[in-house]
Amino acid sequence: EDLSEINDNPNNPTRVDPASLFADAQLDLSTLYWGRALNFEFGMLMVQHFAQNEYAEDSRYNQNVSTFNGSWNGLYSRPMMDLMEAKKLVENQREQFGDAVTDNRLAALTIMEVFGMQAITDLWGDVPYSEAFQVNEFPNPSYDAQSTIYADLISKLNNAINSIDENASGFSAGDNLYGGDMAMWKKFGNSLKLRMGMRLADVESTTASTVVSEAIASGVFESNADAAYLVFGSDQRIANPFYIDETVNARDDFAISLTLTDYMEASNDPRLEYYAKPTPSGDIVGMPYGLTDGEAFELKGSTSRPADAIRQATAPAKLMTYSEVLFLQAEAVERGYVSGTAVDLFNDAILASMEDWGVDGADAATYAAARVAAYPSMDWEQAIGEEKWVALYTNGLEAFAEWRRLDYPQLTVPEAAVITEIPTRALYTSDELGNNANSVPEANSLTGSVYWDVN
Amino acid sequence: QEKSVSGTVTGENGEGIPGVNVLVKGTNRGVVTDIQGSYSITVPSSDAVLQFSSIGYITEEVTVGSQSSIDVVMEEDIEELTEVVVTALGVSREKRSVGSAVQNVDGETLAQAKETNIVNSLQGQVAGVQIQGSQGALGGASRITIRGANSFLGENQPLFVVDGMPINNANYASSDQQAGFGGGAYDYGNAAADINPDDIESVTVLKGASATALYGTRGSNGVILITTKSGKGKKGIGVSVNSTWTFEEPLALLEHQQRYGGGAITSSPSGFVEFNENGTDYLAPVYSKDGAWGPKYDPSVNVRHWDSWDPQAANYGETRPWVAPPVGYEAFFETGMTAQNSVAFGGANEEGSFRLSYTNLSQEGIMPNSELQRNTVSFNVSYNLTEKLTVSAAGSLVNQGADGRNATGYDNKNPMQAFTQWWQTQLDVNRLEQNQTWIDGTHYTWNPAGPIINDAGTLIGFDPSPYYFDNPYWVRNNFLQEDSRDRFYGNLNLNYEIVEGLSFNFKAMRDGYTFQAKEGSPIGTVGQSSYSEVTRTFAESNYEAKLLYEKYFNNDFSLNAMIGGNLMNQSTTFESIETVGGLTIPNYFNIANSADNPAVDTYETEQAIRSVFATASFGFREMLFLDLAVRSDWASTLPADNNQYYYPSVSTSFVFTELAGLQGVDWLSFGKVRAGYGQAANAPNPYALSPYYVNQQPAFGVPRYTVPNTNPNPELGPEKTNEIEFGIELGFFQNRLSLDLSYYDRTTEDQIFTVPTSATTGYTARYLNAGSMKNSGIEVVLNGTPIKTDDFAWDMSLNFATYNNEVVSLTEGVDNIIVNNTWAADVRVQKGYPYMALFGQEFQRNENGELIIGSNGLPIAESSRKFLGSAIADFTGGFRNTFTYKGLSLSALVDFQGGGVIHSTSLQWAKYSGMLPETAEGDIREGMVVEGVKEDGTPNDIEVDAQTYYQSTWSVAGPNVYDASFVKLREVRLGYTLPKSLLGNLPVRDVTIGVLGRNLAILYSDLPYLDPQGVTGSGNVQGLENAQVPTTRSLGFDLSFKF
Repeated sequence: EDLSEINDNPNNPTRVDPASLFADAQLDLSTLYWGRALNFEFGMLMVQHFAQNEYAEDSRYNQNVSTFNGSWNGLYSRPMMDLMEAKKLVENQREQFGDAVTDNRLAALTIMEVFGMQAITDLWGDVPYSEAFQVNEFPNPSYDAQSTIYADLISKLNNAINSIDENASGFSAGDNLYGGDMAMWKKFGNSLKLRMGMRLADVESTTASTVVSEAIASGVFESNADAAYLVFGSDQRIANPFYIDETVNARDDFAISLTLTDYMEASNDPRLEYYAKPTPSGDIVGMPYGLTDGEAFELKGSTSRPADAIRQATAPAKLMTYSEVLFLQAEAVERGYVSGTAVDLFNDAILASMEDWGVDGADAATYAAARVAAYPSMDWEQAIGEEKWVALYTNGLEAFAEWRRLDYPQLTVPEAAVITEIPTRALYTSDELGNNANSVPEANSLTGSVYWDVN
Repeated sequence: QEKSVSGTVTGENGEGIPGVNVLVKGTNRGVVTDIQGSYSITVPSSDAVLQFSSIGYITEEVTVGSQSSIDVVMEEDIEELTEVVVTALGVSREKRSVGSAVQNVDGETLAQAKETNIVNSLQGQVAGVQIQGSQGALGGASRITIRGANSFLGENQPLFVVDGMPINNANYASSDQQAGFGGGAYDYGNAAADINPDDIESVTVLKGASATALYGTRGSNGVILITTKSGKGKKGIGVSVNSTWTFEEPLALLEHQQRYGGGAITSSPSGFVEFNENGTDYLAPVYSKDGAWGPKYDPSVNVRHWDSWDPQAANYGETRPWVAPPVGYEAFFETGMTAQNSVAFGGANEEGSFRLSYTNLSQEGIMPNSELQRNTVSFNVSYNLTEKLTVSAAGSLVNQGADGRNATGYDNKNPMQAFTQWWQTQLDVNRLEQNQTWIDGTHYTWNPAGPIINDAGTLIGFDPSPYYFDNPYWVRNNFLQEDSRDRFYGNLNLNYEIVEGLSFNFKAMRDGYTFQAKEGSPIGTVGQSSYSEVTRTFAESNYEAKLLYEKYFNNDFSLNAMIGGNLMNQSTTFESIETVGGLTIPNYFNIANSADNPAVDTYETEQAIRSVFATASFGFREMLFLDLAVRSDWASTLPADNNQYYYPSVSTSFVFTELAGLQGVDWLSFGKVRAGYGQAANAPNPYALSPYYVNQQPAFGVPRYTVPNTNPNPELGPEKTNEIEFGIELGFFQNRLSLDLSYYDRTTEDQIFTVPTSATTGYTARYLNAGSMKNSGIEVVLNGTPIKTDDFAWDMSLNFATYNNEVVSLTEGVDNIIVNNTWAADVRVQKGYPYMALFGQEFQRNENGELIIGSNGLPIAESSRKFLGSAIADFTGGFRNTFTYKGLSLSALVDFQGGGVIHSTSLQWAKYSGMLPETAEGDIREGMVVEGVKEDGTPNDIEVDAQTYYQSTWSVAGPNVYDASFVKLREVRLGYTLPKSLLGNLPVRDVTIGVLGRNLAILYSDLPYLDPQGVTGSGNVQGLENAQVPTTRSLGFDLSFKF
């Protein structure tokens, strides 16, 4: 036997179907996006959707350079890398599957890639991009400015949307978002483009206007059925991270925040009972945000947890909701990017959220009517910002981004906070400081602003 | 003309000396005297010179001539420098001719330790050998290194070789487990512990690259050569019996403060949880808080303790005083017991010899419900088929089974997590034992979620589910841990003398085992219930052929030469199956009980090394020696076009006392200088070269694959170690005092390791050849016999070694590799620092060393982590004294380590949780002022709450980092050999009885309460203590006799 044959790996395949990488990337990206470290322990805490009820460190902004290692490493090395690899494999199969299918598959992969990359740069600002995912050429990737990353992502998204052939198939197996329906991918691509364009509104108004109006014209989500929801499985290996945290890992560290319950109670929001679970005494009680560990622990038994429905194994990760798209369109009208009636879109956005959470139509209509009535008396930033904040409950990263951009609702820094401002980005990680020491930017503060966040 | 010679070897007192090596000088041919001191040997010619050597005696040489019976009287001598040592590939050499550092430990000294793990029995015995690991854990793993660590992340432990056969020493601990995390993984020990100490004749430690180069890749961290006992020299059949019983108790335990109870002080008037049940008002501690910041003890306050909640129990609703417990957690530990019993049959005649032994080891650990059994059958046979052809075989069958091993680290399964870090100080462990379950069988823990009370203060329910911790007794009685290992290792050997001086040797060797483990967490535990089964197999075969040549030229020159080759094949398999989503039926540990589809994982590896080697040793007048050796390996795990590498070595020794001018010097009996150079290399693990994909749990009927986290590298080459070594060996006053001094300097370059890489490359690590590490040190072995009369002797032996280590370089852009971390500290491989550099924060201090206190009354931490010391010792050693008076002997071994640091997570959390005595000293819980100066330089006078202080300072590692130096009384044994006269005509002889103690006391340590050696890690990660399983002190007796 030849010596080198002994070293042929019997444990792992050297060739796989790119669909199996796509399936992995979708699930992994959704798990990270919806998971403990980024969502309920960061995004949802920063916007005060949740409050910590014990070991209250994160809600007092006591993050450090180690806090984000798992998220940063997980995002780049798992779903994002799988998408890059899948793109290569799909390209290699062009002859076999033909241009239309190949381009459709590449488009779906690219839309997921842009979604993931936007989430990364929205959290950290300048990050490795042009030199990323090329380990042999660039073992120590440099950091790109967020402005150039955004420009390139939008251009990639344009190419992807334009290359979609709705009459040809994409991935069928492996696409757990849309089952290979390319018309749906086109809507998701445009909706994502709408999200990206609007993010630039305060820094590149002209670009934002073009991108937003193009996206709307090309066709965004038209109902909750269109929204990008990754449904998790009942098997705990592929289950919803809220379920894993509570049921598998037996953690019980988060209560709904008093900031949110106060707001929702003041407006008689019928979603509250869908958001939170009553305490043993039968009421929904919010936990004051940002208490010390001792204070929080004392209230732990008498405050409300997130609702059971959120913590089901098969509850979906909402990568992008229809309600969000309507809020963005309302804002596009307000900014003059497109024509239309902002308050109608605002009304529809609320109703879409209500429907999504399962609220009875009549209750929803009553609530929406009250918000619509109040709309003219407020700045649109506040009206949209506050309602969007409520609607984005459980979608912590998007809520955190939009709170930073719209500056509503106005949140207060808790007394027990260890820094004096609410964080506005995540920290570069200790792993990057150790392993990519020459590239990582020196400025590394929780309160630094990302490119598009100007006040 | 071959002829047979026989005779008896006696001491000056006329008694026969067993175990004397009788060697035909200049050949490999030799026998050992039997118990009466008799021997019989065939010599090639009447010119032959017989050399009689034995430790403790002056070597005698007798020319055979016409004699057929030669009786020898040997003169006692503590000189050991003329002894014959076993060197690489089993070649016996006079120690004087060896040009590199080797150190012998004879089987008797080793057996005296009565350790069940061969690794632990070497503690303190050999200069430059360091032992670490969880010596308290039943069957736990120990780690051994020689001359420190060479490889950043790879294997740093030496190769174990038994009778020429490499023996696997795998240890399945993950790096998380080694750092004290790892989800309560059980400690499955290190596989070399299968070597039965009772079968060992001698151990030779080959330290440097010049001594180990012949072992190729696998010798690069040193070699532990073990020779097992044979039946040679025992006429007829002899039987020997050994029996040892020892009893174990914890050596070092954390103390708890005795002034405040557990839980927390609530905002109620009493500080307890107040509620009303059926019209009666009650107080209760906060059961769910795992700590000891509760109310101060007060015998006049009666409270509902945790065990008053079973509605079916007689004591429902009982209240008892709030006082310190009559029985603290120390009573949780049981007296462990270790019984080692062996019987061996041995004998020989002119045609051959045999030895067959059976050993049983039975252990009960100090943790309730833990036991281990090991049965070993060993054989060693040899037969002279013809005058020229000898066949021999040796091997061991080992069967080991354990039940209820210790879980390690930071996990509920390891009761030490609660005992050392998160405990309620008022708990009485007798009550924990008596109330493990409710009467209906439900788990009853001291740490339940607890009473549910409505806004009016009325009790409306009780949630008994464990909050963070299970009842430790319930854990030990309901969690499942079982494992077994079946192993056989052995060899077949064939030796043929082609012509005089030229012989051919062929050896076939195999080591293989199957290891199975079952683990289960029951329904009712704080986490998810589960059950898993793991099977691992290991098999290695070696086929070795050698042609040996020896020649003496006119008594001045000698030549020993060898060429040979070896084929090595090694394969491993791993299969695991575990439940997913918990168990559904209680008390049924079976895969079929999985809530979801079970998870299956399988993995296998295969690798091969093909080698050729050649050596030549030249001698001149027993004075000047030169050894040359070269080996070439072809490794399957390297790229096909670059898979070969060489290991050259050269060494020389010069016995200068053979010079005519020094012959008459009285005080100097022996003197030798030596120098050696050697190279060692290392190949990567299997499958590190080409890209692949990793399977994930399928989602919705679709397979899922991912790109692996480590980027393979098709360009990998071998890693290289270069070492130079110098030594001097001196004997004084008829060798009553001897000194062996070595200096080494080694550099390992182009290390093969998985370099942590920015995840933005798509990988978190990549295989590279990069970086360099340097080690140097001095080793001293000093032996002496200060007093020696006919009846009385005092022998002493000191070994001492220093270690200097530096990580010279890593790779571009990589500043450090964080090998592992706890919450507050991490250990790193960092450029410019020693290996296993411990990093953490310190508090800011002014130029006078005083703490700087902030406006909140708390000391201010420095902003970033800094180097707090290396986890690796600066020096280690051992000092043994043995006194013998007639049949009585008293021996004591003290061993020590200087330097090294340890960070204790146990102390960190024991302060945080208010368990440690210092958190309750004086009136600090009424308010304390931290000693230091304010930022304006004036003395601090800001009062701070003690709980706030301890819970705000834990993340600063400095105060929990201690010097890891220690001095331990490792071993004491008092033995008595019954005089022959007392036995009269009884058929038994050599009756020896002894009392012994092991790990008796920590004579010096900087680390409070705990054992500075009690780090879970048996791998490269060192210096991080976390919920250590207590090390144990053993006391017992032994008995041995022969008939």
